[in-house]
Amino acid sequence: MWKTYIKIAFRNIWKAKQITFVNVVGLSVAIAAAMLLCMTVYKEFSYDNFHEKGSRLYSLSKELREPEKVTVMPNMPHPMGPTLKAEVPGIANVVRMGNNSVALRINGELKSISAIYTEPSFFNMFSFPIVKGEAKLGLTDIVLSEKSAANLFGNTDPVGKQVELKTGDTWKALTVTGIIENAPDNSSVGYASLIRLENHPDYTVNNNNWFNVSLETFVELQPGTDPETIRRASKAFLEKYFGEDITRQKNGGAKPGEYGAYQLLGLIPIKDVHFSPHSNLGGEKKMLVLMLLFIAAFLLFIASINFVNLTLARSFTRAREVGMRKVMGAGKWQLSLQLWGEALLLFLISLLIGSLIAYLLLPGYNALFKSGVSFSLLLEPKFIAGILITLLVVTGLAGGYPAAIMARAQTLMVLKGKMTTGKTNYFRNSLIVTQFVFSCLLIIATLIAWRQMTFLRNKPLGYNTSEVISVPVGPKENGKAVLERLRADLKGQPGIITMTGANANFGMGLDGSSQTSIITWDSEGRELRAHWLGIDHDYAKTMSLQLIAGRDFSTAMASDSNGFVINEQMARQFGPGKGQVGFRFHLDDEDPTEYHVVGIVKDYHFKSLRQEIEPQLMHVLSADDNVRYIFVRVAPGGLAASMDRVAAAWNRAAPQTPFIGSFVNENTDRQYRTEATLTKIFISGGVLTIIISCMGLFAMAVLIIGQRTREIGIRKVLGASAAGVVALISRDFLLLVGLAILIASPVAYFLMNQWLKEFAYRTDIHWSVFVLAGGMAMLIAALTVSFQSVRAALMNPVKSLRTE
Amino acid sequence: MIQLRNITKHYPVGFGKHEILKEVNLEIGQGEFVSIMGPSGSGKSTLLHILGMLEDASEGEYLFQNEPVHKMNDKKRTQLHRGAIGFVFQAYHLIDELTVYENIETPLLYKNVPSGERKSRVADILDRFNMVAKKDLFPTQLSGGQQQLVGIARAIVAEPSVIFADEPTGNLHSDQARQIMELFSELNKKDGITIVQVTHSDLNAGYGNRVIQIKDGKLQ
Repeated sequence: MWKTYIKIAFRNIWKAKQITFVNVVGLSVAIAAAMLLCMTVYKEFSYDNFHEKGSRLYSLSKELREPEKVTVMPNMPHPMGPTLKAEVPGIANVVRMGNNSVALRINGELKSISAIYTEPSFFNMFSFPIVKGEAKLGLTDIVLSEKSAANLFGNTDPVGKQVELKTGDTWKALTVTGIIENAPDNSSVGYASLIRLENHPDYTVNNNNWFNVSLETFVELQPGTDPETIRRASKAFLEKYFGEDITRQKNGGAKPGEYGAYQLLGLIPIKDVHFSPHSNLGGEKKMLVLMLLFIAAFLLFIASINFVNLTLARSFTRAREVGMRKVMGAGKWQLSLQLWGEALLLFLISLLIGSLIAYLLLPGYNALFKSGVSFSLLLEPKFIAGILITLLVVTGLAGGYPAAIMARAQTLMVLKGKMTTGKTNYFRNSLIVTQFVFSCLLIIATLIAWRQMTFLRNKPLGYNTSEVISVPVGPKENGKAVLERLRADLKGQPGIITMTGANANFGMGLDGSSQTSIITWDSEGRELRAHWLGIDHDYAKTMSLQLIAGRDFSTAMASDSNGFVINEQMARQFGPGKGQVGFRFHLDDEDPTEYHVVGIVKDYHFKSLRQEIEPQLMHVLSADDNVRYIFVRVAPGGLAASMDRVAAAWNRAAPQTPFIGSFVNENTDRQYRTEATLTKIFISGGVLTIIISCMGLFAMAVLIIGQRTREIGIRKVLGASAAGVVALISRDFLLLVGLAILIASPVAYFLMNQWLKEFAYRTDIHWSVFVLAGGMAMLIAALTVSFQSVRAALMNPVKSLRTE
Repeated sequence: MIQLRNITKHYPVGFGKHEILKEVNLEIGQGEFVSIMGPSGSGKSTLLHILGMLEDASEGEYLFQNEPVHKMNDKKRTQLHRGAIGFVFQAYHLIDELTVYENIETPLLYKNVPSGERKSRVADILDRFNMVAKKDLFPTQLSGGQQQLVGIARAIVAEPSVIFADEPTGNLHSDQARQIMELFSELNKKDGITIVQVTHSDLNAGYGNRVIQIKDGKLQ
């Protein structure tokens, strides 16, 4: 029996080549896209699932109650971990980690590498296996990842070798004790090397300081300990060590939260860290990942709709066979199974082709979306099971529904050639509408996201972005010294206007790092809060900040070390009569130093446009302070030449560090990577959806025109014009598309409005977006159908009548 | 073998109903060769469809081999279609995607006949109908008469006790028609198969041993 079924399935597939082609191509493309997207989603959801003690590992964060909101601080002070372990029962182990890039000297050669300053419990808590040497991290030890071992030592065995670590201005000898396996792609904790926390340059300052927060801290709970008990116990613990802070919070009008606490520790399970907004290691947008899953699902859905529609439309020609089989005594189940089997066969073919397409597209896909998935993921049992289940569900619905319809049909009707069509037309039409609703949704979303991106890129930020080069200094050099060397070198060179330095960048530079310091202090019983930025002199001049009062920092003024340049928001926060040049204030009641305002600049967007401009304090960096970024303002003409000139000067000033300068506008664009990725997803999803929908529409037009050949012939004999016939056929389809636009527009409006709310600065959703999207969908659909309808309209009526 | 008692068939039309068969009483015995005749729209096809269990009567009783058809479920009817009843249609209704051999084999597949026996029975029929050379052709490659031969072969391969034929020669020219009718006559006499045919032609009716005239839904 099965042999005949397969045989007849193949003959049927072959007979309806055109339809089969549309089905298989549409399905393969959808499957390929869905597969790639699901691989990304799978990877994103598999983060940190490989730790043996995973169920007991938690990342610490601290929640602070403020009058209007709860602030979560993802980093911990140095003493937090050890003290918590000593005082709160239930904690088996604690690991603290500080990330930094360090300079190493190996046989006199200088290398830069990123390091995690941590402690030996790292090896006990996490499951990162040691491949060579031992998991030992003494005060003078260093553990390298396989990759950095290869980078630093090449083919020689590094275990037992000496390296020198730059700490401040001195070099400290370390021994390589072990090689640790590279962190898996799906690990939130990444490392190139591990060094003891005690070696951190700021360790002595921070060791007993509860207020300088800089470390990622993970705890391992005792087996059977509920994280909630730790959380509850953290109230008393934090009251003990942050009593003053809490008093200030109370005075500031904060309301107590859970357990009546003003401060509580948050315990984020390690598996949730990747998606947690409260961890510096995570922050991946879960919404974005779920959106990928959603797009994967509806691509499959849309391709399945094609399948259902085409199969139903084809059932006219299959009707006689089905009817005859019933007369010969075929059971409903046998018939359904046979028809479903044919669907399964097509799906299997599509799955094979789809996998092949996915395999070929994988490198391009990884490059486009920076997803870093590998095809080996497909071999994971869970993933295979997922594919099989999806296949069964999709074939069950897409193949089973038409099969059931046909098997159920009245035998006699079928034999007379009257396959019932009334109801299935509604069904078919609603499926077509659904397809185009998705297409329109994506077109509208793309247009709105694109408008917002253009808006973000073109909005004046209040400083010069296009003519300023930003150069990250890197860990090997003293930034202030390099800046002075550059100043001397570039002075008077053509195209170079001025330069300055700061300890934070604009946007995200090529070093891939961005940072914020926020300072809060009490002033007359009120809590003030400001962004804290260290700058060199000529900052306002270099960045073209508009001074509305006072002046920039200057080398000539010794008193500038206690001075601040502030922005308008800060002046406003100080209050009327205070926020002006010459205003004197203290940053702490106990700190005797008196500070003063030397200048006020017009508000500028020093953070991304997602946020409103907040108060900012800028202080001048002393010679020992770290200038982390150097900014060079160049003349508008010959930007590329200026970039080359700066690079050449850099290589003279800091020969050990490669030049990774970039224009500031590139850096500010880079802050919107999530949005840029989202736009890419919208566009790709939209294009695929439209292509697949149109393939379905095309095939549907072929079938419907085939059924209406006689009608068209009679109309032409009666004198209908070709244009009239095209309009007659296209109208039905375009009505459906129009309906889809009407449904999609409000939905898109609602969704995109939600999305835009993430931005403090945003475009409005203009009505023209909907008109444009609708017009595009209409045009594409009309073109698709017209291919067939024009052919039908131009056909000789005698010929079409004879075919009946 | 077949007993109809007061069979009525009507369709709803607007607020009233359109009666196609009115109080039909009919008895057909084992081994008979019956021809149903009548003008277009007289209800002869409907009568055949009811006899063949493709359609249900609106009222009345139908006994097939002494079993009440009007009380049977779908499963039981499917069983009868598999074994006891064969159909021959005016438009042949062969499955275009299957070869001659496969078309004839299909009823045996549904009857779960083992593969070896299937082969020998299809081979016997092909042999008997002189179609061995054509067994691998598809229906569209055959003439109308040959297609109807395959149709009949398919109808009798499961060894039914009755064949219902709906104008089996309607699409054929006279030579082919005569050949088909002779075949029916032979099946009736040699194999003892009961045959009920609907026909327009007196010539065809002559091959049978009983003619039922129907007009306006009533037996004459």
